[in-house]
Amino acid sequence: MSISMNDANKKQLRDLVLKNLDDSLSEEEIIVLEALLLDNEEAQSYYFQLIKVSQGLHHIRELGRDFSIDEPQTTEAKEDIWQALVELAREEETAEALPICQPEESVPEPAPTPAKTRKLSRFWLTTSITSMAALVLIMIAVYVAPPSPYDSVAYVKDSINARWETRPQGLENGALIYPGEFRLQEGYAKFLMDNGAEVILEAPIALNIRSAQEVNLKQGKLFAYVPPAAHGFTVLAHGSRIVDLGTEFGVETQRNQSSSVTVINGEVDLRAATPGAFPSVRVTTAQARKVTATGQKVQTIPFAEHKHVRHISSDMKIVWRGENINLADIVAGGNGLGGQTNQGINIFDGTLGMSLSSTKRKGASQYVVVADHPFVDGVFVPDIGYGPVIVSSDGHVFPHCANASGYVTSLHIHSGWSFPGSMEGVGPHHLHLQGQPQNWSELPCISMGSNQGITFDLDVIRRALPGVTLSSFTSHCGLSDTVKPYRSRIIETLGTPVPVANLYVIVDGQERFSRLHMTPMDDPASVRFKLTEDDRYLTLMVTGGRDRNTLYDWAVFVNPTLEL
Amino acid sequence: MAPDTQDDVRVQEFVRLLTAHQSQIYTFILGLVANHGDADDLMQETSAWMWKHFDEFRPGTSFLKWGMVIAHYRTLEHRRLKQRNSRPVFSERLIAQLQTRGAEEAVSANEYMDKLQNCISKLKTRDQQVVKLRYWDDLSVADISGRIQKTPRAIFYALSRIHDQLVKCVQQAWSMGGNPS
Repeated sequence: MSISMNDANKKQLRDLVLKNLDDSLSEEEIIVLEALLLDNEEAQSYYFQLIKVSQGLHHIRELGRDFSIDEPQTTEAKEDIWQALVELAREEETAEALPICQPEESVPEPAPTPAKTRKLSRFWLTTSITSMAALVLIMIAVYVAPPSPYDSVAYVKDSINARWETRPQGLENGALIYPGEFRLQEGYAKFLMDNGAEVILEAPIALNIRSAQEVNLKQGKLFAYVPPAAHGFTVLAHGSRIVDLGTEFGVETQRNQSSSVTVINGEVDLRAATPGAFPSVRVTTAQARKVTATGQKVQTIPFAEHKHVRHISSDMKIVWRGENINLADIVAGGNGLGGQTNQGINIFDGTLGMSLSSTKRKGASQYVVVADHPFVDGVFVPDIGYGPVIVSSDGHVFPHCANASGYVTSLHIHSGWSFPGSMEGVGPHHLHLQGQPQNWSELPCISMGSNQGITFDLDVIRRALPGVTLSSFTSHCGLSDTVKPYRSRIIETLGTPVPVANLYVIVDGQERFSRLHMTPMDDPASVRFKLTEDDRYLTLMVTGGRDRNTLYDWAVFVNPTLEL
Repeated sequence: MAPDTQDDVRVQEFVRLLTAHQSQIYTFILGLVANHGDADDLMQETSAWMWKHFDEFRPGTSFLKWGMVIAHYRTLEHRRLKQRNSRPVFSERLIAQLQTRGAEEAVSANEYMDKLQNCISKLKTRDQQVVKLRYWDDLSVADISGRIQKTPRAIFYALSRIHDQLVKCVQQAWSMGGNPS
């Protein structure tokens, strides 16, 4: 029910609008302003009059127009004006309104003429026929005229490697979409519908877009994110009608004309395309249903969370099906969704690459920003000789780096396996935890030596996946026990039979996990903690242990995952 | 002088059309976001988008309507970004209503300016001074109140009243088809 626009409400509306034009309203004030405007034509009309006045006042100045006011020429005159303003401020609530001219007197309406019998005249007939012909011509003109911009129902928000059968020249980002047939042969595309719904198409797909509110999926897979304003968005799929009730859902139509719906979040109404073929079914979060090819039967099918592409980003080269983010893939230069490996990040200059040998070196005494990868904030060599260690580009520091000497033996932090190299006389190999090889293809891992640190920027990752929450970080970690064959060398070199190192996981400079003085003989440690929207920089760090030596410290973080 | 190339002609045409309708498109955007800072950003995005896709504009159709459609889509995206940053925004339902209303309320910019300018001249002198300080001299409410040693609230209320007067005056002038005497 809309609010009546009396003077008090107008004043309230006016004050909120003026405040917001140059400042920001609080959330509570926005709610009040929205309540005044929603479904209220009178309020909206007054609102736009205010907007036009405000914009007009700005615009007149930009055009160089001026209004004639008597500018004060003398000091006394200027003082008088200021005094007048002071009085205005005091009296503002009692100021008189502008004189408004009275409308002209209305012309009396003519007396109604008595009804007369009308004869069809030739003139009247000719005029009527001509008018009808004109009307038909207008209708034809409207029918064949090119669509106006207001006939569009969506536009292309993004696409990756898209190839369209019906549009050889392509549909580039930003192109307006009109109702009609679309066949995507390769790649992916995202449409933003006029009602705010987002639809992601995955090739091969054929569909007919009927309106901003309804599409007919003839074959293939699509995914829809439907905000509240677009509730009722409908996908037709052979034997079914899927009506959104506030959801993220995917629909697939098979060649055999069966169709399925998968609801990621919210609920839909699954209805028969032929009335009465089957009763309407409510499908809710984490459920999936299939309609048979005959359109007569609905079956419950397993919920496949990663069946549909739910987000694409051509900038970030992301095609996301709901998977968690793997940091090992990121270290190898990927986007967190793939299985890249055998690459790493140089601890001295932040470039992508990998080490084939090692040598003991003193690290740079500063945090190195990684420019090669947007998800990685930076790398560093912890060295307590320079005080608290900087662990992010925003200057977060971590003061508790036990035994961080600033020396490293490996130039890179790797994804996959480590290359201890000639310094220790050991060739490259898969690392082991508790005797189990950590196969990088099945369990992606990040391998690090002592005095290495790497920080990931969670905000950039969040922006790459809009609407997604990073809920937690998990991994398990330890020191590789592949050192066992080299015990005698270790004793000679380190004076102890086993190497020792400290492993940390830090968020925004605060420790969330640590294992101090860890040896290859210790059980791997499990890491799991929740993340909040405010957490930005996640750091993995390894420092030398009590032995104060970096040799044979082959640490590994297995399956380091940001859970969504 | 060498004749204009086809590109030059295209640029000139775009500039001509945008100049003629920029104020109306900006007002439309301002109506959707109710904030000058956001409207400035969106106007820039919309103009850039329109230039980039100027080949899709059909000569003879309404450049203003085309601009408003593009501005609407840019506003929806902008709204999502603001929401992600936890900034308060209008609901999509209200934006849809304001989009329709904004398109209906679009008027000729020059004619509107003429009427508004005439209405400003009808304000009392001290009200004109407030308008001048706020919009010509670009002083904030806080600056004005600091100068005359009164609360910002009093200046704000004065501006609010003046805006209402100007709205009524322009509406009157519009309905009479001329300027108020």
